[in-house]
Amino acid sequence: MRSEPILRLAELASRVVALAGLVTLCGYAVFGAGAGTGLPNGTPNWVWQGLGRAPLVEDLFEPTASVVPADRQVSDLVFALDKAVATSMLDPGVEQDPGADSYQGAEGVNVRNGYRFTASFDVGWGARVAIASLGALGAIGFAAFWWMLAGIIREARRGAVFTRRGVQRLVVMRGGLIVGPTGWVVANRVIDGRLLAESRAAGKFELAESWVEVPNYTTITLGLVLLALAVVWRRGSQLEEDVEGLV
Amino acid sequence: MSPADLEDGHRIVCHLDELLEARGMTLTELAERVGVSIVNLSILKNNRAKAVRFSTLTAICDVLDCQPGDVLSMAR
Repeated sequence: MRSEPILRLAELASRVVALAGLVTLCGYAVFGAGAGTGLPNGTPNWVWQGLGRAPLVEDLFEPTASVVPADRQVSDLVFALDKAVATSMLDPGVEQDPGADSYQGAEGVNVRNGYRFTASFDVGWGARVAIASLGALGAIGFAAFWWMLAGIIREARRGAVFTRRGVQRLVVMRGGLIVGPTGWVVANRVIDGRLLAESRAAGKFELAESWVEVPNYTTITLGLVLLALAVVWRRGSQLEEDVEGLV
Repeated sequence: MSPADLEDGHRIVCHLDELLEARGMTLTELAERVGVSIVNLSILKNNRAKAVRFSTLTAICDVLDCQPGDVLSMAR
């Protein structure tokens, strides 16, 4: 079959993407650079985590932001703290780092490139575990999605396109894409809300009262596309079963 | 073969074995002349087929010079 090499390549690529998501997250969680945490750039994450200098989220997940949905968490929190940071930067005591792309804000807030920030106060192990769990969940979901896609391609490569297993995979993938982003936003909201409340109570920031988070509609749309695809797949699976054993 | 041996709740029995033996023909030869894979003919011969195309049945009957009723019957 002429499409065999393409399918083989697609399967391999899907599996590589799945594994890369996991490896990247694990790698950066352990070895990523702790820029902006008050420790030298390039300090492994586990060192500054161990020293109790864990930032909120950015440096924990930033390197994988393009790979795992953790970028939602990062950007939302940055957005939420934006006003607080801006307020603190209006403080006459805040000095701009000359010639650099960073500003030293009040209470350990660093603003880089005018929009990124890290807050180098200790958020506590409970919050770290919650944040890390959410990130890991996203990475695992990401990996599972691509792994299941590879499974569908593998079946197609073997000539069995419309199978019950393929339908099951699509249903799971669709569910993950539709429910995942919403669950992600809710979980983020809960964690971020608690962190911000704690930081406010500790006098770290004067925060904006509220912010609006929206689920990732692109992902949800993709989930809906998969929903349609799963319906088609199921019908194909029924047809394939009908002709099974036909001579 | 007893009806209990048949799958999918049907009682259709295939007699390709007897027809081939009576004509001194092999399954491979029949497959070549009918234009159906030997795997599929084997499925039919061993009563594992769930359905038969009319075109396949016609070709088999042409080659074996018989009627569909000679190839298939219903077990009581």
